[in-house]
Formats: sequence, C-alpha cells, structure tokens
Amino acid sequence: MLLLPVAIVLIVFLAWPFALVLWESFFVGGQLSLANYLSLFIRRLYRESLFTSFILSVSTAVLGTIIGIPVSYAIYRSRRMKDFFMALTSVPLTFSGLVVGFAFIVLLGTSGFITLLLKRFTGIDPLEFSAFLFTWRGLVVAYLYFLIPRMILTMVVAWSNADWSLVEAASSLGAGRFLILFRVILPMLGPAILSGSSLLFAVSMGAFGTAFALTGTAVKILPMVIYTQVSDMSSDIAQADALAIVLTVATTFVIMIYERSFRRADGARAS
Amino acid sequence: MKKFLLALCGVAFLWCGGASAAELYAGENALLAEAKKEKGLTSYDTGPTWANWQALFEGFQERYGIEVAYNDLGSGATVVRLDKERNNPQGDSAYYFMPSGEAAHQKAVTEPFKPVNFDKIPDILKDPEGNWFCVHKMTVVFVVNKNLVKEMPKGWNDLLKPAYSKSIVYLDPRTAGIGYAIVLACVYAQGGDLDHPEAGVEYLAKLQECGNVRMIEKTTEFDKFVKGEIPVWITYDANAYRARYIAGLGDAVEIVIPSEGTITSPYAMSLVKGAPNPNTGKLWLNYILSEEGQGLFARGFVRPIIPGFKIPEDVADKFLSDADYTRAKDVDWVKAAEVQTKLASLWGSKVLGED
Repeated sequence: MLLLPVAIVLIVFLAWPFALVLWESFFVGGQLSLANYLSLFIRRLYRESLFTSFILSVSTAVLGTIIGIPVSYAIYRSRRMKDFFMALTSVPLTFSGLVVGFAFIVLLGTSGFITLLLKRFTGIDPLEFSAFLFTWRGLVVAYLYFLIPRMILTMVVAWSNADWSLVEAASSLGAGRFLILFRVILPMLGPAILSGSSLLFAVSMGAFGTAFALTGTAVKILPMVIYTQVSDMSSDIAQADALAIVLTVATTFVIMIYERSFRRADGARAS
Repeated sequence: MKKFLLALCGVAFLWCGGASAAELYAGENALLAEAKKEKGLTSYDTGPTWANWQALFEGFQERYGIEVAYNDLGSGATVVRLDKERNNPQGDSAYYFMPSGEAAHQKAVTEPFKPVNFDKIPDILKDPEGNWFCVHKMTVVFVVNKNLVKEMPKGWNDLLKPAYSKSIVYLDPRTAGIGYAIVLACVYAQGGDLDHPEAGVEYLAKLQECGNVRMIEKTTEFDKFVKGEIPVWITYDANAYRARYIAGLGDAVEIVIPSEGTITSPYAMSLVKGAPNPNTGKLWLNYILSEEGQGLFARGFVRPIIPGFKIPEDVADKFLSDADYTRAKDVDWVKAAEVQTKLASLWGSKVLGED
C-alpha cells in the first residue's frame, strides 16, 4: 500500500515515457521497421559516438573515484569543519550543466582568468592553451567538477558507517598499513565504491548541458549526436528515439556487468 | 514624452474616428477600421530579441493601438504547427526562414496576400501569388575580435593561413539555418552553385584539416564572442552589428564581407490561411513592409528587403558600405532547401568524417 505512490511516480515519469520512446523508435515513415537500429551497424558515426561516450565515461568514472576516495576521507576526518565541507560539496550538484560549461570558459577560456594568469607567468599562447577545453579532454575536466562531489557524498556516508574496530584488530595482529588498506578497508568500503563509481559512469554517459555549452558538434558523443537529430533544421525523431534507447540499454548493461563481477569477487572473499 | 503624445494621438484618433496623421499607404485607415472589429493579432515565430521585432511590436501598437501577441517557435516548428492547426488556425501571420515559407505554401496553410511594396521585392524573394514574401535579409560575414587577431582576413582563402590556427567558429549546418547559409556562402565563393557544391564543402574540409577551426558551435556563440572566446566568427551581419553596437564591443570588432563574395539569407512572412483576424494580419504585414517598418529593421541592424531602401540617417554610417554589400548575392533558397539534406550530410562526411 505504501509503495503505491512510488509505483505511480515510476510509471508516469519513467516507464510510460520510456515505452513511448521505444514504440516510436520502431517506425520509419509510419511503417514498422528495424532500420533505426540497423543504422547503428551501417553508420560509423553512431558506433563511434557510442564508443567515445563510453571512453569518456570510463575515464571520468575512474578519475572521479580515485580523487573522490581520499578527499572524502579527509572530509570525514575534519571533525569540526565536516558540515561546512559537506555543504560546499553539494553546491556543484545544484548547477545546471550549461552553467558549469560557462564557468569553465570563464576560468580556462581564451580570456579566462587562469589562462591570463598563465600567460603572464609562463607566456603561453591563450588561443592554443584554451583550445583543449573544446575537445573531449576538456569535457573530462568539466565533468569531474560535478562527478567528484557525487563520489564524495557517497563515500562520506560509507566512512561514517565503517566498522573501525576491524582496523584496530588488524593492526594489533601486526598488519602493516598497506595490508590494512587493501585487505580490510577497501573490502569494507567495496559496495560504496562500487555504487559510487557506477553512478559516475551513468551520469557521464547521459550528461548533456555541459557538453552542449562547451564543445561543438565536432566532439562525437552520443547525447550530442541525438541532439543533431532533433534540431531546427533536420528532425528525425524516430532515429533519435532509437539512439536514446541504445544509450539507455548500453549504460544499464555496462553497469549490471560491472556490479555483478565485483559482487561475485566479494562473495568469493566472504566465504 | 514624444511616445506619450503619439500614443495620445492614437487614442484620440480611435475615439473620434477622424483622420490621423498622413497614411503610410493608400487604404490604411479603411483597413484599420476593419481590423478594429477583430480580436487582436497573433504573430507566429517573431521572437522579440531577433531581428529587432520588439521595436516593430512597439511601433505597431503605437500607431494602431493593437497589441501583438507572439511566440518564438523556430522556422521548421512554425510550419509543423500551422499544419497541425489547419482546421482551426490560431495564428494570423507566420515568419520564417524563406524556404520554410515555400514549405508552408506547399502544405496549403498560407493565404495569398500582396502587401504594400510587394512589387519592389525582387522576384527571387517572393512567391508570385504572395503566399510568402521576404521582409528582411541577413548576410553571411566574418566578425573579427581585434584583441585576439592581428591580421585582418580579407576573404575565405585568407582563413586557411596558419595565422588563424584554432581561431574560426561557425555553426553546424545540420542544426542551424545560419550554418547552412555559411556552407552555401562557401559554395558560391568557390565558384560553385547549388548543382556543384563540392568545391565549397571541400574548402570547409580543408579549413577543418589545417586546424584553424576552433569549434563548430550550436547555440551559445553570441555570448562566447562577447566574452572574448572567439577570434574569427562566421555569422550573420545582424549578429555582428549587435556585438559591436549593442553589446558595446565597439571598435574591438571588425566586420568583413569576404572578397570572394558571400550570400544573403532572406526571412519571409505569410498571411495564415483562415486566420482568425485576417484584416489585422494584413495591417501588420503592410506595416512591416512600409517605410516605417523597414526603417525599424534597419535600426536593429537588420537589412530591409526593399532594394535601395534609404537607411535612416542615424544608423546609416554604422552599416558597412553599400559597395561592400554588392558582394552579397541573393540565392534561390527554395532550390537550396531541396538540396539541404544532401548538402548537410555531405558536409558531415567531408568535414567531420561522419559516415
């Protein structure tokens, strides 16, 4: 009974739109057809953009996880400042992607604050330096801005719930620092790292606003390619629907495989 | 004060039904009397920040006391909407990129109407029956930020020089009308035409290859230019003047009409078939093509459609010279729209290597 409102929300805002998109993606000119999906095998662009999206998301997820873990530990240990840092961490999550994109232009663009400082002290060429911002490498930097906080929020909770007596037990039994880190702490935090990093991956796969503000259409990631199908000049809604479904399925599939393989490793260790 | 007095005159005129100031054209007062029996005016796709529409809304309201209700849909979407409302039209007039005007005509959602000065509009820029007619045009130009660029490019071929490494920004022809106009400008500048576009696309591929293209934009180009992110921006002259005079960049901005030539992009309007307020619609379209309406476009740095139109004194010297503008060619946009999909995907495969 209590689940009813949740179920209604999920149906109205998730299942129903998804079903509509799926339904529309099977039509070409009013005829039932698989052409929108077969184009994945015909047009190199779609394959490439899926691949680029994947590489971008894996790199941002890995970097975000590696940076997020120590930072979250530092925040967890900063007793008095913890609340302040936690509040600060949530700020980037409230901005729209467009705002984030423009913030990076203000900092690292041709007339950006950091660019001009670097020009003064190292004599770089601002045009050449800032060009990276508009490529996929620039996207990695910009995405990390709102991915690292997500990782931190997940991890601080995990650190707080961790059972530190295990660490004490291990060290009293003579385990060294590295042994404790790899045999006690990381396995203990495993589930949190797992869910955090797969969240990062999923957010990167679908992020749109930042890429929209920063890079041009020359950067071929799937959300941008979908956008070019529904813009003012040429609209192929059914093709866009099909690509959106592919993006959703691919993301879900990767996350499932990932979580499953780690769960199994965990289970093996526990037994 | 002046505005207030004018408004007062307008009100006085409405009350007394007497003769107002001189008519803008013959039959204006008679049409206004008819329009007064209707319920206002809905103008599709005239976004207030684009092409100085806001000033035209205000001028129209001041002269006739009729408020303009507008929306901002985009050209393609406007045609779709007219088609969907075919049995119950809501809009009185529609405004779009010229080929969309022909598309609306093909769908039979336009009413033939010849506004004032219809005869002066060049034949290539109107439907002979008046199903659509152009009201103003924009020209593809280079806008250069002098703070970032030392040497002014004179034309398309200059842009290939190493001096412009990672400097050039233009819009994607698959997502924006301007982008497609830029591709066509290159086609004509390279001596091609709509049947032989290869050389123009080849040129853009070369530009991409030599690393001079900074990025291919989608939406936020104006703000980026004003922020100082874009050294050389290929866009419409109206944007260029806006950056120079309205965003206040002044002399830091140089506007260049390329030496090899460029093209114009005309924007058209139609009276909607079965419009709820047909006479008000006609009054609005007449106003837009009258001396006053065309002058208001010019004040917003948008080129009037009437050839040889005398640009108001106070803005005339802010435009590039007419001699420069002779290098801008009017093209057959109806035909251009037919080859658009093909040309845009040719651009995608040649320039971005998308197959």
